[in-house]
Amino acid sequence: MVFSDIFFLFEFLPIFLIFYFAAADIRIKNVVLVFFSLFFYAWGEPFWMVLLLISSITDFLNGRFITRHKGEKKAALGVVSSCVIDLGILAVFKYSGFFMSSVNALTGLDLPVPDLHLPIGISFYTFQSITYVVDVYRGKKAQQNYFGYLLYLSMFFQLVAGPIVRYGDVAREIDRRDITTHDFAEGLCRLVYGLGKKVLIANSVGAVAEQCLTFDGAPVSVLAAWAGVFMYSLQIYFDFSGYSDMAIGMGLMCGFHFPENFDHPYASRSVTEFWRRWHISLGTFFRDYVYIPLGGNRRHQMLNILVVWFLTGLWHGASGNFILWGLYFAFFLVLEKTFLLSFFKKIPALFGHIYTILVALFGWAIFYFTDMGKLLTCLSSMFGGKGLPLTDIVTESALKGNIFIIIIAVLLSAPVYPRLRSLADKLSGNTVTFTLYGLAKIAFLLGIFALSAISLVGDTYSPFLYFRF
Amino acid sequence: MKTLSPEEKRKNASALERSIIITFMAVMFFMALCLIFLKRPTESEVEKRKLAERPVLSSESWFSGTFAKEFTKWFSDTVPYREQILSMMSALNKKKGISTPTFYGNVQMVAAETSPAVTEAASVTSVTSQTETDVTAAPDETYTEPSVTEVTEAPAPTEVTTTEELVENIAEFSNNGIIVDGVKMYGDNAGVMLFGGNDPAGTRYAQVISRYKEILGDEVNVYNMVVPTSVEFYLPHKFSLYSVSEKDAIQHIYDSYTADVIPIDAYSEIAKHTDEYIYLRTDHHWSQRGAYYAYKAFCDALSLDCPDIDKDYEIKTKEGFVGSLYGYTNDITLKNSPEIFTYYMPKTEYHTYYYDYRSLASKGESVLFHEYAEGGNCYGMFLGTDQIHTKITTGLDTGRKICVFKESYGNAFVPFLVNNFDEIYVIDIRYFGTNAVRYIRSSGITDVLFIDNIFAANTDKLINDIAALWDNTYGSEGGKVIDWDTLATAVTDEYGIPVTETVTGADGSAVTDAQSLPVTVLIPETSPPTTEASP
Repeated sequence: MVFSDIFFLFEFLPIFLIFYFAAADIRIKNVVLVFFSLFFYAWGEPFWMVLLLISSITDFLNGRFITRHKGEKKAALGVVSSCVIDLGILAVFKYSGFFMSSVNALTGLDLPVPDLHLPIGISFYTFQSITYVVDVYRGKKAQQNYFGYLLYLSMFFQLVAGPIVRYGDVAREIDRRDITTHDFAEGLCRLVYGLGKKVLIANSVGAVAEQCLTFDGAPVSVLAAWAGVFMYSLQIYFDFSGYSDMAIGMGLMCGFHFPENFDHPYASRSVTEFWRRWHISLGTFFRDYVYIPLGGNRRHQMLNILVVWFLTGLWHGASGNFILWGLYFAFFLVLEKTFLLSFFKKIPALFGHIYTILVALFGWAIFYFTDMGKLLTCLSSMFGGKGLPLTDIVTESALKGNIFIIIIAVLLSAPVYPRLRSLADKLSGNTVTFTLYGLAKIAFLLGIFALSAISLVGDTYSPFLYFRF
Repeated sequence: MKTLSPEEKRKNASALERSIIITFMAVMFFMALCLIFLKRPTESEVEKRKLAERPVLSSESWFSGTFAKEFTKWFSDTVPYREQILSMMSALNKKKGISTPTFYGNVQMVAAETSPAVTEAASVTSVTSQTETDVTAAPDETYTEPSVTEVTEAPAPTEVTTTEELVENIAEFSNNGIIVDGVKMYGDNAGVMLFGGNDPAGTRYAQVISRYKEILGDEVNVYNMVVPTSVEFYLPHKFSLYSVSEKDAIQHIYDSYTADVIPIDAYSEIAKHTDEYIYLRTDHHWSQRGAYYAYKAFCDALSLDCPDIDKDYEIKTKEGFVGSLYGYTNDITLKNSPEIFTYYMPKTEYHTYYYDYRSLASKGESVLFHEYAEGGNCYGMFLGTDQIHTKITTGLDTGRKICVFKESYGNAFVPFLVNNFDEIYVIDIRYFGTNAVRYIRSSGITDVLFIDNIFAANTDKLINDIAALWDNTYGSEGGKVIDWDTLATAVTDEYGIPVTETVTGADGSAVTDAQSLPVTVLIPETSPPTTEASP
């Protein structure tokens, strides 16, 4: 199940809310949440749910083991065994195929390449498990109740696509949380806003991106190559951050306060800043659980950066282009650390913005093409290689046909929405303006909700591609 | 107005929060109930397809994940009021930007000479047709009673669920996508289907038709008319790179015959009348008026008498026609530009008989113009459907009987022929289930016309269909590919000898051979009853 789905939004979620709020105390609420989460997961992954359960049991037991041997050397064993098991599962299911085919390619051997299906959300919950054992090792109180731990790991809000919620961030709320009207309303707004980002913006620009970047020989024109990469950059941001918004929103509705995952990354002035604002939960995970333990900036910093970004790339997918993508960012980060950042301080901020957006843009091109040949074709096409025409009618028409969406997307990539909100809050100082503001807000959210629902039904439009001549 | 105190502000804010919660929860739960209790559609008329079906829960379907997948699909595919929501969606899509030409499908630049798309198209579709199961299913050979001639309100063909019809995959056609908006016809919004072109297929098409001429010999005239489509005349110049010249493609076919096939130049005649309503704006077909000009070219070539379209026919109209291009694109522009569908009924007397397209069992006499066709189905007016075999008798005494091999472009054309032939046999190249050559011989046909639009004439699957018709055995698979070498000998053996009606399949030595089958079953009644009033 995904959040942007009719069945999820109009059956699963309302039914869940009925049970959740009918439950009298927190223990029963937790039971409801775990039950619905497991159903949610099993809906998409009926069999490999086993892995989630195995992982949760070993980590729970290791958590207790670590607590029991607190201060002893033995405690580290718990961390190690959990990491080995969790990362082992991840390695087998996500990377074994890629690894074997790489070995074959490098050695010329013909070893069998396993073709395992990647269980949903495994990259996310594996990392959550690691934060648990490490946080417990570092002094957080371990869960005494397996059910509580399973709740942490399987909560359907963040199970399949993050944010990667650290155990430390929600440990307290698992056993004790207040659900306020304020939080519930905020969460609801966040859910609707995220849905709109995903369905109305990401899907629209995504269609343009796909049209431009799906080619056999080369993109049809220089414009098509640029438009494709640009639209894909918008798509991936609105898709992912919209999904995070929905997760955070639903968490709030149920009393959980998840950390933010995106903070208008395209408004950054450097790549360093971009990565502090893009997929924050992943960036901080790698910082706190890999980079700093490796020695951070105190010992062989460059090597640490390289390792972290190799792993960041690899985490995004089992394919060479993702590794390249990670190392590409490592390159710019090192550049910035050595001299670029201090240079940017001396010149107008605009240059930093342009530089960051360009680096991100080409980064997404690397991210998009798993086929290296196509990536090179696309890049050379962007600079007029192969004698391509500058523009073509089909691309122009696709851009014009979505121009309002594109403008909105660009505006929302900058922190426009939070500013509008605080402005509106300020202006609604008396009863009349406040009422107007309230009505406008409800109408706005209802509008997004309705248009998203229509689009979700509309997405099923698939004419029988047949003509009766 | 007084400014609010912090306390009042907090109260207001919490009132707003409660309003938001109540509103959204009300909407969500209301929708939840609607989705559970309202009746769900099972078919989509615009999309011409059956909607997803609710899966059956079993431990196998659950653990394989197919249940969840199909259930989710079913749930969103069959939302109540689907058609209305789709209309909203298509209106919403237009609000996402500025009205501009909108392209649908995978539009490629094809007109440039070195374009890779052209050569690719040629190689991609050369695979054999996936024969639809309906065709391969053995027709009921036990058929005995040639159903007595009740005059029924005919097969009611357009009411047959359209989704079950055997139709052609557009991807296999020489189609290069569709343009809507930015294309006008007769001063109103239109869509045109871009032509991908495929000369190697055109060559094959010409060869297949030439083979018919070779097989049928001198006593039967074989004509071929390849019809241009609307894109050729109404595509604005700025899009010209996206559609191949149909004129050249037709000429290529006419230059590629290997036997004495008589080409009919419908193109020139049609081209003279492009300011008249000769193509449908929202559909991929021509209008009957367009078919008339093709008929006029046919009459000119054969020196036949050609009535005046504006005087000699009973002219009728249907309002609110929105055709297949809307179904394909869901483009609101087309939906908001409905057409007046005009049809021309011959005033002379004739009788129309329908037969099952596989067994040729009689379905009785009915009308030629199925005037109950409405809305998006108006083109089904002519002959009713493609999945039928039709025979028209006119009571004329010209000594000429014509057999028309057609796809649906031919449907609008056929009615004009009642002015010139004693009998008109209509074979749909995709569905006819019997050996066409034997059929032609045994029916005493004097003229054969192959009429196809240029998309069809450049489409391997349809060419295979035409080729397969001549060595169809009774109950054979339609659409199989011909082995040219074995055919050369087989033809003389099998078809060189005139087939008589007395041949029966009793000898059993060659059961799979067309010759061995009871011909009586293959032949529709040659003397239909004339007692009933003419339609």
